[in-house]
Amino acid sequence: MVLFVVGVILIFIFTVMIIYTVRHYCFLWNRLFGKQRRDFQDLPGKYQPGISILVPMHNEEKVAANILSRLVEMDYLRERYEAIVINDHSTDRTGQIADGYASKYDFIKVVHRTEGKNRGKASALKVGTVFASHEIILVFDADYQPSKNCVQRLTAPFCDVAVGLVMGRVVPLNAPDSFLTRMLDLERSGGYQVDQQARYNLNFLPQYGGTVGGIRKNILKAIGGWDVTKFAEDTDVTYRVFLNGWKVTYVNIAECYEEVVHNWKERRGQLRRWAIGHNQCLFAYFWKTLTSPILKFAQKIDALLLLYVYVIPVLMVIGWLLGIYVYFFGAYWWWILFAALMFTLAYNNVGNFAVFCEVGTSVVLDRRGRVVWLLPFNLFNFFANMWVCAGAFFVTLFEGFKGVAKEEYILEWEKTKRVSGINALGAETIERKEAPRPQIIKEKAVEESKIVEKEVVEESQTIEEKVTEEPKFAALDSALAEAYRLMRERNYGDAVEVFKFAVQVAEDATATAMLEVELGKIYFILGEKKNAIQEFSEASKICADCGNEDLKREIEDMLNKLIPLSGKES
Amino acid sequence: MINYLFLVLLFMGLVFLCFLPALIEYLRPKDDKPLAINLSMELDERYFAHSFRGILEPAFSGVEKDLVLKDEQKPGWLQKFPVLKTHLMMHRDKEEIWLAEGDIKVPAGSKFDRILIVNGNFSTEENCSFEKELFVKGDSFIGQNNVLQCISATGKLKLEENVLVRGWIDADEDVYISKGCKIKSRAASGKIIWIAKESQLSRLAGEEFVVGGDGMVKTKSKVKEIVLPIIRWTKEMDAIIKENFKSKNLFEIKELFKEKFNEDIPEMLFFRRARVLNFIEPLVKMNEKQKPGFLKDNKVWMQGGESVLVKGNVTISEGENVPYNIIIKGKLTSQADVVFQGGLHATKDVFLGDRNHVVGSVVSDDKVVLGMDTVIENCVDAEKDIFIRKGVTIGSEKRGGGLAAGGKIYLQEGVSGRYKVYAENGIQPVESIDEILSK
Amino acid sequence: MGTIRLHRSMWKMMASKFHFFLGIILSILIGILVVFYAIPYWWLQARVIEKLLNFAQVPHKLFTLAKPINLIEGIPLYYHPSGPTFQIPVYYQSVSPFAALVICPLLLIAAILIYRMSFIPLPVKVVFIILAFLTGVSFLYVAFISPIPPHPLYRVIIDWQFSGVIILVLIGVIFALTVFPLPGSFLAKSFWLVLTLIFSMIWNTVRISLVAATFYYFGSLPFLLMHYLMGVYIDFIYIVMFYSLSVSYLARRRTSEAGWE
Repeated sequence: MVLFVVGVILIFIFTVMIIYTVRHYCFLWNRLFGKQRRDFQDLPGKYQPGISILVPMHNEEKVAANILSRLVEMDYLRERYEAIVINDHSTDRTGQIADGYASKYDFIKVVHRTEGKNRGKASALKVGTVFASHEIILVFDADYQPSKNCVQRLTAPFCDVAVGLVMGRVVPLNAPDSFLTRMLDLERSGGYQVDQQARYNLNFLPQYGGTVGGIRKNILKAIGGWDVTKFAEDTDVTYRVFLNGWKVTYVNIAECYEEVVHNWKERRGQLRRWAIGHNQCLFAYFWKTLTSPILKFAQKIDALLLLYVYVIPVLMVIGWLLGIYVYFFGAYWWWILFAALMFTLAYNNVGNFAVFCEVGTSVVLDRRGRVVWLLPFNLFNFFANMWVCAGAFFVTLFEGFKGVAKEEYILEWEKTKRVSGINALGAETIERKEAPRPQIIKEKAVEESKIVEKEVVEESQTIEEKVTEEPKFAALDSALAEAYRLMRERNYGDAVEVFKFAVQVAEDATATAMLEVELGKIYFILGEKKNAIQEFSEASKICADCGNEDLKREIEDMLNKLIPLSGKES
Repeated sequence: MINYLFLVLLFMGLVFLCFLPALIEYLRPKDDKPLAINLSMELDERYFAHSFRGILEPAFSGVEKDLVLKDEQKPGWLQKFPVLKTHLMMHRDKEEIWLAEGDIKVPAGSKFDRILIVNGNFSTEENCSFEKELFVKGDSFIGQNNVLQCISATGKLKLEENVLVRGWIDADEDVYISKGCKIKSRAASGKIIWIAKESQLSRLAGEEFVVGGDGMVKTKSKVKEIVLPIIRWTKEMDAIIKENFKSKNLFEIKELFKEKFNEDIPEMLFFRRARVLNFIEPLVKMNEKQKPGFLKDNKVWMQGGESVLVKGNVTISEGENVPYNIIIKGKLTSQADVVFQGGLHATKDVFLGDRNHVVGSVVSDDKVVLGMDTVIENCVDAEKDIFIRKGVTIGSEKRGGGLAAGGKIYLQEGVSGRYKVYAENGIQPVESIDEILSK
Repeated sequence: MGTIRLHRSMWKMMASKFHFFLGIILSILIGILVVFYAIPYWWLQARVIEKLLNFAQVPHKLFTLAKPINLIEGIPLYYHPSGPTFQIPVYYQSVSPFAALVICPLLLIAAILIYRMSFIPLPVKVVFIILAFLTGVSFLYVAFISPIPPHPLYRVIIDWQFSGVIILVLIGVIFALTVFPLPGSFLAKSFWLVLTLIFSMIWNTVRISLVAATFYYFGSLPFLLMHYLMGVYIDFIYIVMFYSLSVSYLARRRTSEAGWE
């Protein structure tokens, strides 16, 4: 009898795994062969409703300036655009940095929360929404770096009255940092490029991730606003919007950099929070989803499967334990079933949220290459995810209900540790082959930025000075990044201009000489030997006292090659 | 036992082999950079032209010119003009570029296979062929039956009949596309794009576009935007709404307000006010008393965000007023003179009658047919074809514009709109929409 | 004119339905081959295993039970002896209850200590906990229930069902579903499929030999551990590896883009 019951449970778990495997494969198939929805991206820029961008911050002094600079540069009608920074109980200089920007730019407002028990992102958003004066609310986390046209892309779908919620694509900026960040980069890639897009194509439910996305203010009010008792306010809002008949749109082209967690401790905290929050939503919306009068059958099934995503690890653990029981006490037939279950689990759940084939397909779609070699390491990610999510499920059962029952549940900020000074423009910098020379320039820029940071701490320096100090180094860094990018795209004309600018901005003789050498090389590629010789000669003069022997030798070699050639031509 | 250990090592070796590529990539990463996002990219509808000009401009400024061409090196029509030649690396090839000074006229039947920049006006007679791109710093008139690759003009651009453009066209001033022209790619302008019948394009981008008749007369009408007034709601007004919201529909409430306060308040504002006062919870079914006539046979839910959700096909009779955003899980058909005070979305076809006015946008997951002289203040988007009858105006200064279809867009004479038109299967001005529909 | 690049979200996938169907046909062919040639394949594998077992000095008897048949003539779920069959001498290792009661808490303490060490990455901790748990359960079972594994005798007879032929079919199906639709040359995809199959055969041969040798040298306890750890589950490690290599090859070879206008 016991074996029979165990067998039935195993069959149930096996069936659930098969359903998820089929679901993921349907997404993959859709992404490969299905019609890709156009998401209103033929119309952005021509519908510019008023937008309020909420940026909740808690101890974000390292990254605050980045996001605020990006919001300043945003390509949107200024009179229809405001940014609201919610400084939520920060103990560092976040508030001062935000105030500095607010004093310079009218459209930036800062809300300082220093009292009250409620903390956390949901609470901050709730307060920020009160101050939002426009019809569309967009949310960006403090460590995010959206592109100039990101906001236009995100608002385009709101021209459709049926659209309630929009989500863009998130790209890890600090992917190279550690093993974990590289694995998360793969996971995000598969999750957004394949999973989210396919769900949108199939008219299912792409999930709003709490950032790089937006909602209509009147809809937010209609559904009751941000729920501060849920750990995953994003999933909560997603389901409330969807169950009330509005569409959730995924905009693949609206890309934004983020910083992912880079150690396992933070990963555990983050995953635990997501799992608890998601499971809270499961308990809150399971029945409503099942009985919704407006969703189609397929939409209901997918929405339910999405709700159960963080329960899968629990089923896996139960399946393993029962399988062990069956192995020791069972008949051979059940062992076969268990083995099949394990196999399906493995294929369905390497990486847990993006199946291995979705990751592989996203790599092909993004035209990347070797990064997919890391896929076997996702096995370790899988173990960690399984452990944390299984634990979180039981936490939700026993503690999560507290949050649902109590109106004012104190949720704290669970933070990803910020890496200082990552500016997204630096991400596009340096080819490894050319690393030695540009790296010197970059190191110098990094050193000097450290000096700037030190000066920032000193009270004698005003905020305005700090704000003006940063662009110089950012300018050189960004100029280099832009120049190398243009060269990769073989846009040599523009690259010349950018290098010329970089020469002006460089302060060091070695750096200037190196930039002159790069200019010389471009002219050489363009066939303008005279200009090339001029640049190399210039570099040679500058480098005479710089002490960099390698560079001097290189310049000499180039000049020796070029001068005889130009002599022949004339 | 030792041999057993060798066996273990052999198996561990195979396991290690499985992780070897991952280890190699981890320890000596070649693909660890974050996915490149162009953070400074701006949306530019005239991207091709701007990018093209940006590449060509330096060709003749600040860079030493290779050669001044002698007469024998030039075709006849360039003999009278000074022509400079240079080269530019583009992609993998070295392209030859000619710069000609003066107002150039190309005789009939000429062929040219280099990139040409004209510092002056440029015109061609019939049957000319240009293999490469043209950049005209002035006005440009392309004769009948010409074949072009791409052209960008800083002045006006006019294509005579039956011109074939394999790429895109662009001008800072007005663009005129005559009958029978085929543009494989985009037509962009800083001002107005005029399109004649029987021409074919895939996308347009400009301040405005007009489908002209024979003569390209500016017949477009001005959009009269519907602006909802700002009402100072009093406690008494709120009380009346509270009392009557569940037992009367919005038109009846409007009549009540006219009677009591002598105020003609659009119905949409009552709906909004009810939402602000929390009388509308998300997804509440509208009772029979609240339903307007055209929704009597449908299941209707009030969504609370100034929208109603309707299941089933909807037919709206002449002269009706739709006082909210309406989302229909079915087909929408409206007769003449219907006003939609919000936007609309239908999962099936949308047929709007003549002289309809939509304050928001029209979105359909199927096809859209717009009746004569209809005004859409925002954009129109359809997953399949869009059929637009005479005199329709799309877009307004306040609300935006644009027209996008996953299928084809058929435009009748007199249609005008703002900003962009995109159709996956092409844009086609036609004589009669009914003829196309009947097919 | 130089290429004007569209944003990556607008690039067309250029996926190949035709290659997908060819992949399905290939996987069906592999299935047919497996059905008809499983036993001859097992013969070949058995010879290699025999050599490895001899090398590892594991005494065994190699039987040929009944005549070699193809899989259609047997119901897969029930034991159907055919082809060469290895019999390994049973060495039932008993563990005293006292030893089990000492070892299990030690394993628990070790697991807790490792879990508390912050410098150890979380996945490593989890793997250790799982292994410790499985080891503990095995010890307890052997100590308190029986030193003999709970399976009928044929589970200590290595026969064709150990050979991993089924996984060959699954590899074909997995590649057909996930690799063949991707853009790229059919030959390249087939090459990677064949390479995976060959590796699978080598892997399974060595695995079977190792499991059998472990059973002989260390008895039922480690056998319990290894058998259900190194069963079907672990095959995915090399399948994912070959999948990643094939995808990276195809991704780099991809040259076509959605055309710019």
